Amino acid sequence: MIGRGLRFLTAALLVVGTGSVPAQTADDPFHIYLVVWRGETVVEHGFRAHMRERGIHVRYTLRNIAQDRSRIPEIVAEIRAAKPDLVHTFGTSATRGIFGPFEDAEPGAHVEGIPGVFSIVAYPIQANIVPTFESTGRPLTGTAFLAPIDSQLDAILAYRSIDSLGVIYNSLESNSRINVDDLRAGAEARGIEVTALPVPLNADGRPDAGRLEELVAELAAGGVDFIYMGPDSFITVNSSAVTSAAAAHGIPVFAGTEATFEGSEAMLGLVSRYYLIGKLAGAQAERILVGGEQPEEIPVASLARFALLIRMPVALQLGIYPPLDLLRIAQVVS
Amino acid sequence: MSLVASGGHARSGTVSPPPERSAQNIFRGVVLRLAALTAVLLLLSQGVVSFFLATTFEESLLPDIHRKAEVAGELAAGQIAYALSLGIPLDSLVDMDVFLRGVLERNPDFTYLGVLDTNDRVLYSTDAAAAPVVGEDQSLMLPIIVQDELAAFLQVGVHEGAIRSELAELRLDIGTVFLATLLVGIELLVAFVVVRVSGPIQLADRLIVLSAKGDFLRRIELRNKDEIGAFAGAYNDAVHRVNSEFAMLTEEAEDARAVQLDRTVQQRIRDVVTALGKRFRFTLPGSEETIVPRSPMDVRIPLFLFMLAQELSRPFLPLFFDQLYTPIGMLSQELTIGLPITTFMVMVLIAIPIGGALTDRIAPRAMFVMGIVPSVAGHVGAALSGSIAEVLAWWTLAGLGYGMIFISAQAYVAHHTVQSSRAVGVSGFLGAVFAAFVCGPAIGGILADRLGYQQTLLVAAGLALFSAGAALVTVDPETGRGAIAGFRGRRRANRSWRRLLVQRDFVVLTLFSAFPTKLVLGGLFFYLVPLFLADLGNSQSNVGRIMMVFGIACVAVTPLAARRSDRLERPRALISLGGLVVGLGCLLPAFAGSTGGLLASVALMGGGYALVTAPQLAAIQKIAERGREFGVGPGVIVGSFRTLERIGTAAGAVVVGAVVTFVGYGEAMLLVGALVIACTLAYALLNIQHASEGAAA
Repeated sequence: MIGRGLRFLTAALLVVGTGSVPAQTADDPFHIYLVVWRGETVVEHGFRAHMRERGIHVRYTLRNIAQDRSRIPEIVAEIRAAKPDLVHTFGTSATRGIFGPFEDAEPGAHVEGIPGVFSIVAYPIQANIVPTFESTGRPLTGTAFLAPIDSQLDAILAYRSIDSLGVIYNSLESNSRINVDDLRAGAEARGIEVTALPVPLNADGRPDAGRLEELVAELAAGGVDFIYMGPDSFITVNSSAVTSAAAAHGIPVFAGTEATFEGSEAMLGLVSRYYLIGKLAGAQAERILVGGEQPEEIPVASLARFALLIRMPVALQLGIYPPLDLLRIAQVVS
Repeated sequence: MSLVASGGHARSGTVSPPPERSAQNIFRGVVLRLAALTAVLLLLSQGVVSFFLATTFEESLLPDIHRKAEVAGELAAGQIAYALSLGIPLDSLVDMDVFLRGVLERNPDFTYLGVLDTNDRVLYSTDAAAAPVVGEDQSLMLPIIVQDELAAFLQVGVHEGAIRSELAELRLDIGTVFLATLLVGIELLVAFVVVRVSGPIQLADRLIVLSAKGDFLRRIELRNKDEIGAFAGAYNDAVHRVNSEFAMLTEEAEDARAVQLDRTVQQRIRDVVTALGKRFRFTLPGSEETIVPRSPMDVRIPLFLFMLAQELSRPFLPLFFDQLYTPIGMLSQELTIGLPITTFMVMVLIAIPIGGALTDRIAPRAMFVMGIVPSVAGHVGAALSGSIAEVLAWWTLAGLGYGMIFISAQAYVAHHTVQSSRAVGVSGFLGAVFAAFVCGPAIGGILADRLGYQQTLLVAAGLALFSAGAALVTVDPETGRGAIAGFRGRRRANRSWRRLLVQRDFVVLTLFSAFPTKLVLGGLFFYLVPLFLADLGNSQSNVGRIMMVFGIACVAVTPLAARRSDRLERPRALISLGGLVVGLGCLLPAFAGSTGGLLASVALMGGGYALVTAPQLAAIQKIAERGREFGVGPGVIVGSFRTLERIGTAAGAVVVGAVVTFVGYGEAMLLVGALVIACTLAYALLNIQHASEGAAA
């Protein structure tokens, strides 16, 4: 069983072994909580698909935080009482809310002693969820989904050479701040100047989506060649506002996550497919439930390949055409 | 024809030369002439066939090569068409220079790429100066079609030289096959002639000479159903007739004697019969001793076939292991892939003494056939292996088979040769090994290129199986059964070899000459050279061909070295010279790390290796002769030397594997070369010192 699990990991879950796994019966399925941040996504579809394909019987309970942190304590309490076999969480906020930070967790405020698998956490270490990718030190493992910043920058440079890169981010999100720092370091090493603009806060202390157009204009005035959208929940929700403003100024936009790319008119993206991430999370769960492995001993897994996406209508509209060599490896989205 | 007749005539005279020698000389002459004649005929016929093959290939292949260029060009055109189909304007394609250059790099036979619009205007191109001249150069004009409409053209210039070099490679392959089949043909012919023709004739000749002297005690048994067989039948009839007549004469004389009253007449009759019986040697008809012609050459064909099978994998073995590499413990990749080569040799090392002892009990032929089982299993298992661990196990098993067969053939030769003719017997034995050593890698390389590694291993398994069949047909099942000749000395003195380790001459020879040369064989030739050559971009056929040069150099130098070492009585000078040649060969690739450099290196290694081997044997024989002085039998001395040598060969792959973990291939060869030269100098200096000490004493 362990061997099978390991083989899975190396295959990055794109290929699934044959034969069904002797698992819980249909009468006595595993009980898994799926905790989502803003409704069920293709990540959860991938997770469910993996379990189905592997013949593992599962009873799911879906809980939606709906971007409202105040709902987390009641969900935690429910899970603690229900004692499911496993909890899968989507996103940094949900994961930290449900399982708490790795260090300095408030006792009793989080789910403890129940195996967990997280997905779509951009920076699990910096977010104080796990200390390392190799051994998580707590009954929690997960999947990494972000392409390395160097690969992201190289994807942009493969499309066209640039001197300056603009980024708009939500300074309240820790993953965004980490991402912008990484971006600066990587860009600097390539001789690219980065202009990073935080979204101003409104009266409620929340980032103001109404100011995005104005921020894009500011970047355009500064003469940036490309605008970057990273793993930022606020920007993801408002990504189409960013891309339409950018299009008005003739600036192409890059997206580092599938949700941001799909939800907007970004021209270029280097992303993990969320569906495959979900399947990868399913395989992690299988190792725990069926393989009997300890989650703390299962390294955080990532896909072996990322998808390079080009949105052709935007490229044509901007008149910024992809090089032929890039077209050979990219998936063209119309 | 005339030779046989004149030979017969010579012996019918009263003053005849020693009959054995003259017959042997005559038949060796016949065999040599036959071999030479066949070689010429094979050369001619093969040459004609090869020539026609090459021309036919050219005719049928040229369109294929053009087609290949067309396919590669169409692929590029398709990519441009795809970009255009996405809506990118033809004149706004991005980074076309990078794209076209990439296509050019991936297709070495392309000289030029250009994109033309429908008005034949060149929009993008690799190098305008290299544009093909219409009518002179090979040029393809490929349409780029978008949504069923002609959008542009991709012009592709194809290098004729590339096509020619591809054909040259093919001709080289044909030439290699030509040379290898020639060698195989001659090898098989010589063995066949010896076993079926000259051997029986020699035996018949010997018996006729005996009969001429009045000896009618023996008859020949031949399986030949040809003139020689008929001749043997006639001879047997004649012997039978003579013996019958004599028996009848004796009876009649006895009857005549019985009716004689005169005692002196009785005595006279008795004297005549007795005198007759003394002048000639008769036996009772039907009780003649039956002689079956047996020669050490019987084992030559099966041994050659087996060795050929074994050598087929030579040029790709380390590359095959590399393909299957998966980490084992803390071992580096380089060391791990050398491991099966080493365990194979270790298994040979183990199998030889055990197999030797066993062979004495069950007869060499049975041992040969038994050895085929692990060998074939090892080859098939290796071919089907999915990991380095599996292949390691299977290849080690193949080593067991190799050791068993090697020792069985050696024992067969030993049983069939008396001390005086052992050298001839052994040279026939080594001839088979060497012929395979020369042909095997070249044939194996070509097979590997055309069929693949696994398939070539399966071919080798089939050939090994065939060699067992040949052994069942040609090798006498009874020879050597229950005998212990030839190995007695080695077995008895298991403990005395320790005394050898303090014998200065022995230690110096082993440590400073045998070990380094075998390290080169096992580590560089078996392991590193194939890897290095493949790394330089050589096809498997080329690797095999270059490895064949080692064998050819050996064959060219060996007779020279053997003659010199006999004549000079000073093998040490030759050993030192050979060591330096081997060392220089190893150094070469560090300065000329090209295929040519490596070819020269292999030739030097082969030549030097041959320079060293024969004198080494002479030197160890000399030490063996003095063995009694320090109480070690000659068999033990030679045996121990052989064993230590094989340890050197076995260690080669892992030692060099460990070295290339840290340094490049060229540097590793440099290091080994430096070691060989240092050892050779140490060997020379120690011998000079020893000689001067001896002179002083």
